[in-house]
Amino acid sequence: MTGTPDAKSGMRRRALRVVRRLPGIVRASLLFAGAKTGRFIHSAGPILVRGAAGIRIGDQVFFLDGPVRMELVCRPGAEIAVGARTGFNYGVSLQASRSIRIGVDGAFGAMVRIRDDDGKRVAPVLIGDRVWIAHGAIIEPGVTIGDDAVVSAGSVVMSDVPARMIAIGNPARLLPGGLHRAPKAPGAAEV
Amino acid sequence: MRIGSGVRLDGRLSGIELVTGPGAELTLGEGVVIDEGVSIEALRSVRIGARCRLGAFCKILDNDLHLVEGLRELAPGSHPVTLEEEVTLGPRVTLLPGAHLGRGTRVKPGVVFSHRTRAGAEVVGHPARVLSPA
Repeated sequence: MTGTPDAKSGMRRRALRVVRRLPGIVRASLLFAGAKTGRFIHSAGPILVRGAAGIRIGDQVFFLDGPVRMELVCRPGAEIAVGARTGFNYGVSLQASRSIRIGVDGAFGAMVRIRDDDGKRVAPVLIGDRVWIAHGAIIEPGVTIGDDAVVSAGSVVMSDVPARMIAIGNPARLLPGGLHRAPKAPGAAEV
Repeated sequence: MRIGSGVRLDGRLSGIELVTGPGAELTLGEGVVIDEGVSIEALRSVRIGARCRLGAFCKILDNDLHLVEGLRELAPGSHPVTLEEEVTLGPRVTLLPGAHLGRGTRVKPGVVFSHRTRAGAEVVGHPARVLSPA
């Protein structure tokens, strides 16, 4: 017998977590067959993958499951690159005709859409490290988003977002980052 | 989770997601109609009043789930979301923590909203504007 009961239960929890993630890791390796993938990529549900040859996924990237299926479409000669430890909620759609590149430690909310081809022009999309793109946001072709930026829910981003800025609205406007939403007390002022 | 009588969930085109965290409450009043792809996540309290209608792919959250500043893995505090009776949400509306919609509020498609409205108000645009508060 080694270790305190606490340490033992912690080890058991970690072991359980690895076992629980195994099916997701196996599923992801099947879904991304033919793509360049890092280690321990995890997918909780089905993903539509087209053009795996142009897709690169970093270590420990994970895909959550939900009512809508995630889709990655990479047309011939195009590239989709996702940095390590980036996470995707359900229903995210990435469609590349030339290039979509996403940095490390990103967080993508559900139903986010990114494309680099709107039928008129094709322009690469570049998303920095630690970017959080919230539920239902849409990123248009040619947009560059800087490190640590946040795109708020439902926003439509048509122009570049510098590092550490917050993009809000349709069309998206910029706010300085690090801005906290004031907590709303019950009976807060009506607008 | 409490679901009133005559609630209609139309998930024919896409699934509907209702999530409650530990100890949280999610209440759907009598005769609520929910279209496809709607997702409601309650970590503390989400209340949908009687005869509300939620359009396709609406999202209702009472917690931002990530901090804007600091450690992104941490979740901030929850703020309850309340829809009084006969509120109508258009498709792709997002209600964020703290939203409180008065009786009969109409929210147009694509709106993102986290404030209070009076009875009979109309909410449009993103960032949201409140028109014609009764």
